[in-house]
Amino acid sequence: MTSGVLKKKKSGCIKRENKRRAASALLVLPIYLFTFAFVVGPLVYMIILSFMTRAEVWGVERIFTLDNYKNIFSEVYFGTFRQSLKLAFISTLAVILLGYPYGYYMARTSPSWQRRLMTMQMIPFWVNSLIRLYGWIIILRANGLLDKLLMAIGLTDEPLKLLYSYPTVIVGMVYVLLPFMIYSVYSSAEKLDWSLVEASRDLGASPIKAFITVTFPLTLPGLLTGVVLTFIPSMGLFFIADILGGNKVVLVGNIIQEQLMKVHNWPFAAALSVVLMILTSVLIYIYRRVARVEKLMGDGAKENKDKDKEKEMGRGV
Amino acid sequence: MLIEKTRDEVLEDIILSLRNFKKSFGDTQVLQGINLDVRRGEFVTLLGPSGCGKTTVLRIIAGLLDADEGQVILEGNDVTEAPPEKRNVNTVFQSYALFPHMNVGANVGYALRIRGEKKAKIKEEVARALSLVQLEGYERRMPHELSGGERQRVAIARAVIAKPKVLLLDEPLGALDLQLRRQMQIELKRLQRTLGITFIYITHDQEEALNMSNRIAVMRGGVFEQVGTPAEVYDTPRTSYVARFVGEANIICGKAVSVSDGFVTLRTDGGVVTARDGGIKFRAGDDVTISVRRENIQIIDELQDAGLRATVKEKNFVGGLLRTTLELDDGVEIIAARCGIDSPHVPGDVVYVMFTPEHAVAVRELP
Ligand SMILES: Nc1ncnc2c1ncn2[C@@H]1O[C@H](COP(=O)(O)OP(=O)(O)O)[C@@H](O)[C@H]1O
Ligand SMILES: [Mg+2]
Repeated sequence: MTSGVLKKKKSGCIKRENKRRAASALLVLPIYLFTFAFVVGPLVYMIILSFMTRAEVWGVERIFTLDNYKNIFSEVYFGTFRQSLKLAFISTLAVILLGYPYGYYMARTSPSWQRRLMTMQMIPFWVNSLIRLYGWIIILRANGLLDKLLMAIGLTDEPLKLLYSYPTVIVGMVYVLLPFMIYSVYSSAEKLDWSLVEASRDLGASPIKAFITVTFPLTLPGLLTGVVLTFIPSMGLFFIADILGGNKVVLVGNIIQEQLMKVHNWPFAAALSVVLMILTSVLIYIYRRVARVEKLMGDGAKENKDKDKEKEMGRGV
Repeated sequence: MLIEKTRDEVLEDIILSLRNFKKSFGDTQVLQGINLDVRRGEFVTLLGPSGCGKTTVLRIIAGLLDADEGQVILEGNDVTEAPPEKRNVNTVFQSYALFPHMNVGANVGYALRIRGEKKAKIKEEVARALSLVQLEGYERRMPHELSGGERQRVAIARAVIAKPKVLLLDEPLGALDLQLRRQMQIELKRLQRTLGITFIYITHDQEEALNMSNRIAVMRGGVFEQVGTPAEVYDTPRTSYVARFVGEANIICGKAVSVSDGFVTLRTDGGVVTARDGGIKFRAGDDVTISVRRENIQIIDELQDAGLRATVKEKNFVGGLLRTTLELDDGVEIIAARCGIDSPHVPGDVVYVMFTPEHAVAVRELP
């Protein structure tokens, strides 16, 4: 009999639990709907589109084909893909080399310098990025500011053809994407518990060895966030290649834009986007694998924050 | 640079000398002249309240912080300017500072790996260091999977694996609960004897300091007020601060009336008492401050040859001790503690406080 009562109670519990679950499901429903309407839906549509055939005149026909994907691997487009990847690679490398030290230093320096450095790289954000890129044109074009300056000092005799070249596009990419790297590295380096670096020095590591074995691995998640935020856009930011590269540099983003807006080959544009998305996913997957370190840091970083607070309070007294 | 050893240093086998170092952060002088000679194999404790500069002393010894003035001499070499990695000194940090991205084995073997030792040797040494702290087989665990006590042990193993000349421990047991702390105190002592390494140990817990140390340096506001064996510091505190901090002693003030062969007799508002002079030369009429520990105070009903009149204020049992709080005629509060049974006194009773002269000692009253 007792067991019967128990059972009843238990089932009552389960019922209540189920009710609660249903209620909370109802609460998050809008989020699901929103995500579905604006993220999953378009994505699925794009993937389906990429397997369809382009209509003769306008739009698409519902005929399954793999041609769009085959097309990507054709001589012309695959070349562009490779070039675009290479450009993204070089830009990312440059952004790392400039952004990592900047972000790291920003985290380690005094608060007043932190503010100054932060402002310095935020000022450009107050101006629309297109306008800023046109600024670069004024500086870099033949007989532009840079040419005039160089000729005035006597370093060069004739205008250099700086604008509309591969390096210029990279300069533009680095310029636009650098702040993302700086912030990612900064936020990671700021969380770094400095006593870990001291411990490594204490145990016999030179400053360089301490950096390699402790500082770098622990700020790697930030660096990788920066890489994701740099590498992916630098394949897609077509307007930078347009403005600074003339039509000499073509990115994947440029082809997509062209296929979509000019040629109206939507299925091909969709296929290109899908491939780009797969690349992105791979990158993010790698990032997630490595960024687990950050979770491990959670504890230590928090403890350290508490300690700092304690110290501050002690000083206030 | 090799510094000529003084005769004392050779005789006493001094391994580490701190010579008059000072340190300021901004306008506040945190350390004002720290001097200490540490003998090989000694267990020296820096004892003082939070914020008195203990960690700062340790960081200067480790080379993680530069002193403004003064020298650190390790085995006769002036290492004041040497970076931390060039000093044969390791630290157990207050927050343990285990590398979160390395497993226990990699943490413990870090110093050897940095030094470029062979893999097989590192593995062997790591296993040995871990067994020393009773963590056999923990190599593959990550720091975040460990309990506080286990992290503590890993931090110790990591610091001793490179066989430092001096091991610095910054409140290593501070974060542990009382029971674990007691156990670790014993283990640390054992470890120190096994390894024969010189320990410089920080704590703000006087009991811990008295239990573990060969010598204690009692610190206050950036100076050592007294350096001595636990017995010296406990039985003959040099200053009223040391008496209060280490022994929780009672402090009584008065004027010297007579001095005789190591003892001083003083008059207070409540009566006349005698105490050891603690090496201070008094003359009749001088101000005298004496310290008497709680367990040496006797409460009597009738005045005998010497004693102070007092009123019973409060009685309670704390940790098996009967604690009686009394107020002397001049308003000073005295606490008497003794084991065992209840006393017949109740709050409001007027009694006399007494102690044998050997149990009281004159101390200096520093600002
Ligand atoms: N880096 C620092 N900057 C400013 N003040 C500090 C710094 N480190 C310690 N202090 C101050 O120095 C004093 C002594 O600190 P510390 O040596 O950590 O004391 P303890 O270890 O005895 O608690 C404290 O008042 C603390 O606030
Ligand atoms: Mg401290």
